[in-house]
Amino acid sequence: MSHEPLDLSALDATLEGERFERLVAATLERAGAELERRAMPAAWRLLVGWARPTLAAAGLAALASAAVLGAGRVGDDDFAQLFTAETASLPSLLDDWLLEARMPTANEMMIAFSGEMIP
Amino acid sequence: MSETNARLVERARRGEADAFEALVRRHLRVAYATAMSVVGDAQEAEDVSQDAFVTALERLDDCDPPRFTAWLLRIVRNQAISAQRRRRVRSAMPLEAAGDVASSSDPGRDEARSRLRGQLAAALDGLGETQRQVLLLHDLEGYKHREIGEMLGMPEGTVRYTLFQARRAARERLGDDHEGGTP
Repeated sequence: MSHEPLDLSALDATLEGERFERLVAATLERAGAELERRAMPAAWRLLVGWARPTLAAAGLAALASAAVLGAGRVGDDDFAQLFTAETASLPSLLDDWLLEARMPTANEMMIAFSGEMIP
Repeated sequence: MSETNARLVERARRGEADAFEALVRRHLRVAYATAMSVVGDAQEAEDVSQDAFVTALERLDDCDPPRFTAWLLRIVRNQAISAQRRRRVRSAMPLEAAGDVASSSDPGRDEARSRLRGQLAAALDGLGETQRQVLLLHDLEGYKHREIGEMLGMPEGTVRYTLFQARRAARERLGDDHEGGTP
């Protein structure tokens, strides 16, 4: 008896005509993106494969940079001060000499470094 | 078969849509039958079949081209089992009652058919992977032994013997009330 086919019709597994075609069309539609990806030239596919993680890494780096810059923001005024004598703990008179680009007189140097004039 | 599965798989790997469509058309019925034997619901079996083909395409590089059919049917069965588990979690409704799609105007006949479907699903579930595939391909899809051998990568004689064993095991599970012929 095992040579006779088993009746499996109760499984209702028949897919005919319109239903079959509808299912084929739906399957192909869902597979469209993957087929397009596979149809790309290998180098391009590799690039697309790399694009996503690379963009993600770049985004993270940008976020991290923004956070660092935001936390310790350096303005124009602050930047200028970096070059003043005051920030370097030097006498304030040095500011004038530096800004005016001139040599100090002997008296100015005495006042600047000892607070006294040359008699 | 005009173009072998292996050749179609190679072409589908390169994104050739006509090759993938040929694979879908060639295997859709057996994929659906495999899904149906697990989930017992027409709509769910359609969804599972679709999902399985898309998954198969995504993983096509892992497939040994000459053994595409067996590989695909394993994907179908695994996805059908997952779908069935999800559905059991969603609802406590019995599978046979949920799977009644092709209902007729005769409730008694529907009930008997639904019961028979449940028995068939259980019988198929008790078979080995290869036995189930061979049985579905032959007795449901009408493929010849030689064609099944090509699909599953088996000698024709092995297909015959496997089919014989599968029928005997399924009949033992079904009992004497479900012999070959009309239900």
